[in-house]
Amino acid sequence: MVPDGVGGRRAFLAGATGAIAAASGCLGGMRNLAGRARTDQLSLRISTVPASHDSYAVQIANRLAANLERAGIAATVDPMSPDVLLRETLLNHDFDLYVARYPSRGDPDELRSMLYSAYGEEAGWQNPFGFSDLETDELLDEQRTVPDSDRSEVIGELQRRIVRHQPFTVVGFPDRIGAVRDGQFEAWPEGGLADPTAYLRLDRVDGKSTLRLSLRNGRITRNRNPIAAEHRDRGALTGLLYESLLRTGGDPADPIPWLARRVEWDPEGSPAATVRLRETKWHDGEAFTARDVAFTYGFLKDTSIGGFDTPVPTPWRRGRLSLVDAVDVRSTDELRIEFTTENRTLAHRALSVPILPSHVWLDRAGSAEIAGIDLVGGTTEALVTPNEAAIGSGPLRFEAATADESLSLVEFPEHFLHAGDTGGIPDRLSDPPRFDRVEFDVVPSHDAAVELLAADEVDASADGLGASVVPRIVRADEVSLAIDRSEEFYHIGYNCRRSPMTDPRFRRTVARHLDRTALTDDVFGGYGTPAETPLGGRWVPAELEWDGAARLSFLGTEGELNVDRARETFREAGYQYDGDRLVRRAPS
Amino acid sequence: MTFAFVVGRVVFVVAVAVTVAAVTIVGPGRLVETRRTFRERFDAIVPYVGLLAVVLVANKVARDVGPEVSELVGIRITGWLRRVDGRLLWPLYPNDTPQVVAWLQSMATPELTAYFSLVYVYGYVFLLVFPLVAYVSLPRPEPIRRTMIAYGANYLIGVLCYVAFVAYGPRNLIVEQAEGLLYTQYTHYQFVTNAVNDETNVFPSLHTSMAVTAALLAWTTREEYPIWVPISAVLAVSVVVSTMYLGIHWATDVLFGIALGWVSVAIGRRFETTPPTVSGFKDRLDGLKNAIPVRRR
Repeated sequence: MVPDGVGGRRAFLAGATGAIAAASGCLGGMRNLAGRARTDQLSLRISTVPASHDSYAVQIANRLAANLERAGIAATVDPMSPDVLLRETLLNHDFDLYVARYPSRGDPDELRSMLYSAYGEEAGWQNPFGFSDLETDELLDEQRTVPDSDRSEVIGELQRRIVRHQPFTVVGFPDRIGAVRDGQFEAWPEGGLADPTAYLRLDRVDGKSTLRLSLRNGRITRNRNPIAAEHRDRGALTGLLYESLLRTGGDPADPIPWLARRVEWDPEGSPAATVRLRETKWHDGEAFTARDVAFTYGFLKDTSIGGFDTPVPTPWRRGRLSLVDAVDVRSTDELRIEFTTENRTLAHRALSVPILPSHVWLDRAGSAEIAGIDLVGGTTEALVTPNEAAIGSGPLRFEAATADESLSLVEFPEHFLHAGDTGGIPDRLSDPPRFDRVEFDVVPSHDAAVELLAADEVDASADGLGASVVPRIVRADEVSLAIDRSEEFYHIGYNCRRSPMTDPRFRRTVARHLDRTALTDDVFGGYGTPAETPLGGRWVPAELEWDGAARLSFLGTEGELNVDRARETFREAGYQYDGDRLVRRAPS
Repeated sequence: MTFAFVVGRVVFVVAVAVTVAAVTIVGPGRLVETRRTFRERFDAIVPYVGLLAVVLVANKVARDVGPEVSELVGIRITGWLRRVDGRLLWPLYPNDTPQVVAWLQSMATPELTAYFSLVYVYGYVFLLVFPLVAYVSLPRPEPIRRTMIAYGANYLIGVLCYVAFVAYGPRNLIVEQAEGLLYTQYTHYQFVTNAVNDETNVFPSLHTSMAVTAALLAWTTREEYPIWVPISAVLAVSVVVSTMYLGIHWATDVLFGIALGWVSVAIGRRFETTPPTVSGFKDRLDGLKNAIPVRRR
């Protein structure tokens, strides 16, 4: 929103009023008029990323902007690089609207992080909208405490509430389009290398060798901090370097014991478990112990370790931390963890945060300073460190990186997979990786990624590709498509701290400027599913299931906005028009 | 490696083209003479070569550090560029004015795309390199000095703008209307352009300003190389159109690029007899200071 010279105009009018006051006596009307603010066309900025990073997001933003423009709102699409977008929206909360992909894993508890009122002031994917609604909060808490059998009911109610209040507008779920090369490696999972476990499942065709991958988003070449919200999406790559107690290989109810050898639950009713750890090493040779685990859970809850007046929690995976109540070290390889929920599926979620080495991160609890000056305040070193050496415990170790060009990871021979300590891990994952190094090549576009694949310079694309390159993938020799459905969804985020996004009626009307069917066909090229709710599958109540039209239906037909209907809807929501422009009182 | 292969090919093609042009346009006589009097000619341009080197190093630093600084302090103007571009064709299409880039691409054919892609990569490099060879081969030192100053000015002003403004080109925003033709049709060139430049360095168009500079310089040497005037003009116009046709630049970037090219040549002419020095700059600053009236008692 662009402030303008209202003050000047008012001052002038006031001056004129004064002059006339001296001359004549009839001025009541004049004074009343001059004291009022002028009306201005409503202008909105839609933040998103450029097409070379994500052409879906920019196209959704373009369509929304064009339709809002026709409805009388001056909407501008403002592209910025992915880390700048996340910084502006998640950390600085400086945006009107944004279009982005939410790095979801399909767990309903994610909604608690996204919408919980108390998180409105925090940084990260914690309520970036500044949305606050008491009843939503209650539902978000309730879904953590009810038995599993009743949980769907609560989640369904939550989804209804989201559709009704529109803190954000879900657009749809694009498929994950992977491209892989046949020959060197096999057993490529559907969708390509979406998760760390996908790397471990790969099988080589002959001989140990290098896995060569193209990478579109080169943030990891500059920043390897596993908790820096502006540099991480789902953490698929940092997940190779940093591990958690449990890994989810698909079914969240049945996780794979990873750094934890065994999780023994207390008898039913008591939300606590005893965790036995595997014997393994950090990449710098230090032993991995229960102290590191206890440290991590404390540190991620408050990265200042009590040093600041207000705790500084991790901006990434914050919601999961709130599921843990207390962690006690029993011995070097045994811990007792108490949870805030009796739901074990949720507790598993708490056990899948990245474990950090205490000997590295303990020193990062101080306040972040530039040349000895604390500029920002309330920020610890841990949140801003680029963490170049990336000392983790993963099966791969960081070796070298050139900013925005390349990254090499090498096998870590002291990992527990090499020692055969693999009890509880399914067969396909229990072997050490079938490659001794991974070379990532940062590419300038998805087209370039396919070009390298076709030229046999990479074996696969590490990130998902856009639908526009599918024909090229199909044409290329020995390159195959690996497509899978994804839990990640595109959404429009509203800054509910700013007028008029504060108004649910306004947000609901904006949501009706999107034709999801047309978007899925044209923008996702058919590789995706339209949706109105953030969770799919069994979490969708029957009446919200996608049946070709949204509950908040599109104000037009077949992608074409009906301008009169759009304006009428804004008018009904209480907005005013001056000619064909939607106007508001200018802030003074 | 794709990257090395593409770079190698560009170097080879341009080297061949420059050699052919040197023999035909400059002529064997001038080349032999240049070889003989190489020392004196080199002495005459030494201060300028140093200057150009300083500018290029500064530019390298600015391109590496620049995007990061720009991300923090730069003004994001992509939305404005799109708005202005959407109005430029208003005289031709008063209702429903198209984006300039979309309008150009509506005339696209595979042949035109091939032509403009080649011009954007090979033609551009040739257009910049050949004047250096041609002007070194002239007995008077002014043209080569002028060229180096003008090139340097282009880079310096361009890089300052890149830090001050963050902007993405049409291919990154209006994807439905404009395709990044060079990168979708001739993807391998992207490895090179990406290594030379950051994708947020769009405003103004340095391709345009450098091409315009080369063509304007050609006019200043029309006596010596009359045939170079039309050749450089055709190439420059092609480069300018290609930046928009390929969806890389907005028309607004191009307009400012043309202005920058013109200003750079003016700067080149201003300093072709005396190289700009630190002390000269200080004198001018002092002059400015003295021009500000100060009350003395």
